Amino acid sequence: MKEFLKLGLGVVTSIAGFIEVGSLSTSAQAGARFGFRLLWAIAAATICLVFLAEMSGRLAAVGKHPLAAAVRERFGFRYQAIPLVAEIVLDTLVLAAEIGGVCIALQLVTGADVRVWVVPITFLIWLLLWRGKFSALENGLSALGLVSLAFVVGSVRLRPDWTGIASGFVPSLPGHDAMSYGLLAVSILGATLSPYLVNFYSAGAIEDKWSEKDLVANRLIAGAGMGFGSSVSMGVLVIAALVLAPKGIRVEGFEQAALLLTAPFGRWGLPLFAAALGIGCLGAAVEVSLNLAYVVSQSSGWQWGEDLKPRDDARFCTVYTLALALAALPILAGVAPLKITLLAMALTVLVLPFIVFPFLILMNDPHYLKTHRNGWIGNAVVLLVIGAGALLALVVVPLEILGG
Amino acid sequence: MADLELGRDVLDKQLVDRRGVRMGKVDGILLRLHADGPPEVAWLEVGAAPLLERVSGRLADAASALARRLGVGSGEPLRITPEQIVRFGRELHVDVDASRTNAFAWERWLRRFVEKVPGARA
Repeated sequence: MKEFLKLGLGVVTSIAGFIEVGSLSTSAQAGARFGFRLLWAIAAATICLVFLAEMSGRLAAVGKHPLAAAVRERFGFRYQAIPLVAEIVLDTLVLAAEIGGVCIALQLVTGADVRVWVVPITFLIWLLLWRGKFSALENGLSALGLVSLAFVVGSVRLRPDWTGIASGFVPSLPGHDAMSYGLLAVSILGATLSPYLVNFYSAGAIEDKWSEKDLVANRLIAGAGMGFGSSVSMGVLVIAALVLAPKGIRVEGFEQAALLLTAPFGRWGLPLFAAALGIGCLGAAVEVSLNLAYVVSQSSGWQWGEDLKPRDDARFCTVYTLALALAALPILAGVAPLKITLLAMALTVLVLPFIVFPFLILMNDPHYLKTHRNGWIGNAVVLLVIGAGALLALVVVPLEILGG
Repeated sequence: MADLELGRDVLDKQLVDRRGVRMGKVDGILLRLHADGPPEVAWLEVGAAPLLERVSGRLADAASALARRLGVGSGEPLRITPEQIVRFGRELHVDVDASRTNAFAWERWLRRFVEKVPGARA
């Protein structure tokens, strides 16, 4: 049972990677516009995320350093300052979008405007962080997150064409709208591979007191956890391809996406969709606010930990409190969460190489990893996906901006 | 007998105080030059100002000005002399009670507010 509970870290990390506002909407858009053709992008992002999570768990278990602390120690503050500032900006954007996502979920079931929910939801997230213990948050959120398996069950219930699905795992250019296709591929990578997941996973491994004995478990947890989130994302894409694409419905907001589950589940569809969206975004919001506090504290060498009393790590608590207050503002002002996510996703793909490159160097340093250094496969996979993603982003994002 | 590279091994190293509390990182190293005799490491510095100084002097001045304005600590970085270094391992252990020093100035200042919120001691 204890071993089983360790899975919580993998599942909660993958919720923030795959079942939050950005990933759900990009998968739905991808399916609605291009059928099964973008399944490969989710698969590529998943493989990369499994490798990155496994590595950061290994760094924490063997080197006893969370990622942010190790980067400062190995590369110095002058190098770290840039990725650190980039990550603080990105995390705050993502946090704003996730707060918005929870509010949208509540709007879908109650009909009350998004802005009504911003303050109570932000307060709820803060309260969870203020009072919650790390293990309670990780296990509670991952258990609740299982509701999103409705997308997987739903896609199977719709009896999809399995050969069509299989062919979606081979990248191929569509006959129409190659530009949007490229942008969606970048968005899928950007929505899934958020740097905060990697930091969060390594901090979580230290909160859960992993040691070298947990290295095998770490592999399973990273693989199974991300596999769970990835299957949900693919479920969303498949349902959108089956339900929305034939009718030519484009996903422009959550009004269209909310229809996804009504085809397989009838009147239960909407509440199920809202529950999955709400819980996914809540999980991601808790995770990203914690991550901000982790990254700032670990880079500065302060006491940190969700299990300390707030009075014993006042700076740690201040960081997430300020971040939540700041992130709530744009949603209160009426900025659409999806707009914020789009910006965050494009930024993510561009800054990712600057965050992953020092990470790879650390993972090959015997000073931190002893005998558990990276093999060439791990290094190659990560470099390849990140490099390809950044190249794609460099081409597609400016073109998209120029093209309006 | 062991050699340590100041830039690679000591700068930015995690500091742990007498009670095992993580008290910050080595934000700066001060080398003192003597007219007669070789230079020596005078002290290690901990504080936002010496840290930000490494990126931009203006940023460092702004951080000091903010701390002075809010009355956070005395505004001076904490100095740790080589005699206070106890052990060098994964972290740098030093014979200091950090909670009383300026390394914890912001922590003490923020704690006054944090403590007043219900649940801060639980």
